[in-house]
Amino acid sequence: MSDGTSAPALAAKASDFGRPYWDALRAGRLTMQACSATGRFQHPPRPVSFANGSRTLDWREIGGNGRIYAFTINRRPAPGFEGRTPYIVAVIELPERIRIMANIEARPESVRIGAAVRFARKLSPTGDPLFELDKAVPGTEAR
Amino acid sequence: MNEARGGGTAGKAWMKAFEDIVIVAYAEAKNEKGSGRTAYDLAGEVLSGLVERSGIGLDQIDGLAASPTMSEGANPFYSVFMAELLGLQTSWLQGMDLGGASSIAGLHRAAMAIRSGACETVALIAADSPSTAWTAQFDRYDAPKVGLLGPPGAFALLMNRYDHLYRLKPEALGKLAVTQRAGAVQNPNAYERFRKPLTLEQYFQSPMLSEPIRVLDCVMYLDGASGVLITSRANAERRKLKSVRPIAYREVSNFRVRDLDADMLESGFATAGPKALADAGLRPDQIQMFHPYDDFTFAILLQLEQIGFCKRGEGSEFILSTDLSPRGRLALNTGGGQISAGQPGLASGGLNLVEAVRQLMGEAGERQVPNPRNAMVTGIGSIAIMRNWNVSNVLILEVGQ
Repeated sequence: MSDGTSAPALAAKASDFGRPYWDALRAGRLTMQACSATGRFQHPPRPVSFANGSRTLDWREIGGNGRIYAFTINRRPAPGFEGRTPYIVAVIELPERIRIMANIEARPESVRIGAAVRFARKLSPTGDPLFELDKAVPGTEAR
Repeated sequence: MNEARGGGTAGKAWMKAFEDIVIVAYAEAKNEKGSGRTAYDLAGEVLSGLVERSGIGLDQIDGLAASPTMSEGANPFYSVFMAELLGLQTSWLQGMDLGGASSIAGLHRAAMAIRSGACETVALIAADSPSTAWTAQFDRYDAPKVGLLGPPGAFALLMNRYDHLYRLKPEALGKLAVTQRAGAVQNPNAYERFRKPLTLEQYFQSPMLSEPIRVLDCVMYLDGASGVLITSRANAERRKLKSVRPIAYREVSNFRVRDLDADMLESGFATAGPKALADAGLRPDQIQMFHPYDDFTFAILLQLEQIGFCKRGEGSEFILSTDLSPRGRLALNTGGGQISAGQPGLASGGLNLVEAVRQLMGEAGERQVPNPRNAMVTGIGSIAIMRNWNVSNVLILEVGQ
């Protein structure tokens, strides 16, 4: 398969401009890059503001509540995920009009597009934020 | 150039790159697994084929455009080394880095170089041997490590989203796999293991990799190479060479990149496709052959919709109701495409291009499309995080002399 020959590192390769994201995560906080002038959020981190091309970016803590936009269930493990199959990889849409890709701690049968999820306030073994189903929110379909 | 053709001023500018530019030869090495060969050796086989078929010698090839590789990916001087090893003194040398979109993008760059007077004849070479060696490194900064199974995982997400919005019929993807496998059976350059027919039942038995993507929806990385020789029409006429004419090309990279909540399914093909067709003055139903970049079966379905062969959400039905065989209404990747002939690493896009050129020269043997007139070839480069691919490009070719 396409990526079988280059074993990726287990943790993300942090950039200089993205380092605050990873530092905050290790401290238990989910923060996102935002344009200081327009307040527009962007993720993954970038070296310029997508709103105006400036370098005036800051970091804001977000609630971490969102909805599943797309997901897949892996029955074969990616490197580093041995013994964890089946597991869920999802793209989650956040109210800040950005998306994040994360694992969802849930039974594969229980996930569907539109389901409410939230930051589980813990990290996956790879250092990424882990999400869980938000049972408090009625799971209305979102397109 | 008549006025009915072309999408306005921009269209004319895009098409001008191709005025009086022709492809006069193609060459291809057989796809093999773990061949033990370098990309340079594979490129040598291709160059020698181009020289033999065209009669244009090394001393008359003054331009080279090389597709990127996984095998030599760590070498920043790859295209210079290739020219040195192949014995080419060039006045125009271009290393490409648009992934699988590099071949048809390279054709466009080469045409512009020839028209500008920088050179007269360009060898466009795509060679890679990722199943023998791998030195490339392209891990994105800050990319989450969530156990996504590489490109198949990224496509599984797209398919899941598509199914939610429109319903994806797996039998349509199965038909693509079965149709293209029939092409590989008739293509001596296809990976030998794939040169036996596939049934729909076998497709459905293929294991799920990352739901809902199956092994048979994906390509296998192999070693291989292909290339074409591009020159001025005047040169081709002087030498009385058979030719294929590029007539339209459009390219979009990082479609809606700043729109972070854009539809993840919508790709650059949604603009590149219709614009290339408008430039060529053709409707989708006038395209005779479709040679789409096919790293995954689902990529073909999305391209059919976004280029305009059918509406959004109707891809499954279009595939199921259209004869995609060489004698059908829209001949599809007649040599098996990458899914069935194998994906020669980042030389991938050359495979679709060379098959289209071979067909238009009427040299495709038992899989020949009758009375070949035109073909559309596409390219896809790199997969973006939480989106589709980074580069979408579309080329339309027609029969020349």
